[in-house]
Amino acid sequence: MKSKRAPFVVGTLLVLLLFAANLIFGSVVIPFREVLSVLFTGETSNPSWKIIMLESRIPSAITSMLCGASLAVSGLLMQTLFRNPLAGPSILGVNDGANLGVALVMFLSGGTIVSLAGYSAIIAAAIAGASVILAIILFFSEKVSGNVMLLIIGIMVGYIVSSFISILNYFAAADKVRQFVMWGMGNFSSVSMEHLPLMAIILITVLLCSFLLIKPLNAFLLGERYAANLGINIRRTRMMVFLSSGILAAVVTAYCGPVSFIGMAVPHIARMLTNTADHRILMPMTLIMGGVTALLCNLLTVLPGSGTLLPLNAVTPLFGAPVVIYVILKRRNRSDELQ
Amino acid sequence: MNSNDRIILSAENLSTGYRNSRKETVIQRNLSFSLRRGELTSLIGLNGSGKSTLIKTLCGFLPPLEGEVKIAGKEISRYSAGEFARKVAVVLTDKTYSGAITVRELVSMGRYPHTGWLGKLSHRDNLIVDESMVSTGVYHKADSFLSDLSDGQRQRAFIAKALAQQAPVIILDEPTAFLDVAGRSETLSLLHRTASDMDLSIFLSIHDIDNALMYSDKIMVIRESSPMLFDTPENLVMDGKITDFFAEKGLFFNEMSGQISHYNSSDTVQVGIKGDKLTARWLSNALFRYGFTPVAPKNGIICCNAVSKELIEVLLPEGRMITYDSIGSACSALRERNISGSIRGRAQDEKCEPDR
Repeated sequence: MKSKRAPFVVGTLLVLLLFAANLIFGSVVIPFREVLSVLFTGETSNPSWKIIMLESRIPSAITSMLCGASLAVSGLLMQTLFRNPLAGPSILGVNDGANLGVALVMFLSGGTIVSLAGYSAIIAAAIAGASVILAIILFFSEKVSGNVMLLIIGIMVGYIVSSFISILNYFAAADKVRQFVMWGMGNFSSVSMEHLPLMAIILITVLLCSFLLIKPLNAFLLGERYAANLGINIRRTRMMVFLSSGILAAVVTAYCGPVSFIGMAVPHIARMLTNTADHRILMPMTLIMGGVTALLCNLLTVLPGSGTLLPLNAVTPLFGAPVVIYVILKRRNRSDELQ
Repeated sequence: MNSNDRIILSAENLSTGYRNSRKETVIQRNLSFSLRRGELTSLIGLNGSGKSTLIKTLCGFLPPLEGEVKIAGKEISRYSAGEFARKVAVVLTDKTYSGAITVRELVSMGRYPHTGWLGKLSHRDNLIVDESMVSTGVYHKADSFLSDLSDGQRQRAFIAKALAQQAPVIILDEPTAFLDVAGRSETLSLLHRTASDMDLSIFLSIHDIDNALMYSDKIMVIRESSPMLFDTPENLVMDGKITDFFAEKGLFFNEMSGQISHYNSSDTVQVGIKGDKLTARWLSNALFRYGFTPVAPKNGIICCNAVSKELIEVLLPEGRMITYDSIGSACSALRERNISGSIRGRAQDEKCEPDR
């Protein structure tokens, strides 16, 4: 048991450490002493530092942690359901749905999006777009019995949606296209304190719900027919998995843009650290490592002193792709799941 | 006890097959049979005869097209998924996803129908898991990953999972398909012992007939477009039912050895065999391979007296005797005669000497 507990202890410590680092380091240099004094006394010698801490770094760190955990769990759900190590939150096309929603709002609205109302409109549009795609997938999951067919349908729906986005892009004004491209680069710092509570409540609720799926997910490791014979209701479980994974991906995408790689890479990290496929261990580990990875990526977007940030999606693959390659090479000996 | 009390699964006028919105494809019709506790029943039939369709129907993966299947007196469609999991445990040929689960984790999943939402095992559940692993001989591998096991061990681990389910019926789809010779008889003897020791009804589909005949309490034979057979292996063999079954497909079933081979009756020449039992058995094997049909010695045919591995006496129909120093040389001599046509159509009155 000792060896099983160690990764959790290390993971939790890393979360705390990286959370602190996210508060301390940013594009604006704030002395460490001032960071502590804002956190513990609310006093600081420079009022703008206080605003940066409260309005930017704290919400951004919380967002990273929650969204990373959500994407990772969403990815794990998809990987187990589709028995495919390359599956991730975006595999169902939910991200593309969110993209389309956002593209529609950005390109068709006359005004600018920088305002708070504009940002809320983007979130609403992204959730609406993602929900439509999720509804389509759920509809097919009732009609189609094979998971592989569903996977293909999800990918095809994604292509169709991407076409619409291309068409919209083609006719849109240049400044709007740029705005959309920026949104597509992902950003954990875009969620303000006003928006944070609602997002947090939804994500935490769905994450808790996905823990109810641990037993059926374990049974799914043996294949659907074995799972059915162990008394698992296949269709209902599949619906629940789609719904949880879809909502997690949709909400994160709505608030932070489409964040790549974390959802696909983190479950592999968790498997490597725990050396098990048992979701009772894998699920919490994925959750923790999701938080760790996202906090780390968010930290790496910071160019200290430059006053600007690297795009998030430029950082995640730099980190995620080597991890996936390493894990897949290392797991070659136990590679049944890759067949 | 009334033998009907032992019935745990019964099928009544069952038709199996596939149904979709456009059409119904019936594979087997009018199957009626019952499985008893404590018995191992083997389902044999050639590819395409509907073995796996029947297995899927009994496992509840496919609805019956007609008729009904009752388990413990209740129609299978009326069971909830959870209840059914406590009545029927399955071992399939499906490829499983993850090699990264241990034998203990796999067998623990057998307790899923009996545990709560997280699948947490009680002390009693753990005991059952241990017992299942002990009785299938995989306890020493409890903490090994499935991917590190041999095919035979993995099959036994899945059987342990089925035992842990504590269902009165266990259904296995070709449990010996990927196993070597030792693994096959090991698995079947384990299953037979389990059925009688734990008072379970075990039903399995299988291709290797010799093991099925040896270890099954009942054999079920299904064929395309002819009624199924259901009896003890001994009755089926001695009534010639198994021979007929294979003859339909141009195969020869040797009632003595229980083996099947290709057989072309119009082309073979009978050779009488007698002598030392072991030598005679393998001399027959060799002659069979070269297109002869070994039979008991009689008049008008070549007879072989297998004295020992080093001495084979061949008595020609005309009364001449030639000795050979090995099975191989005797066979080549007979083949030469056979090819030159000198064996066929010899005088009928010349005698083959009876046993000395």
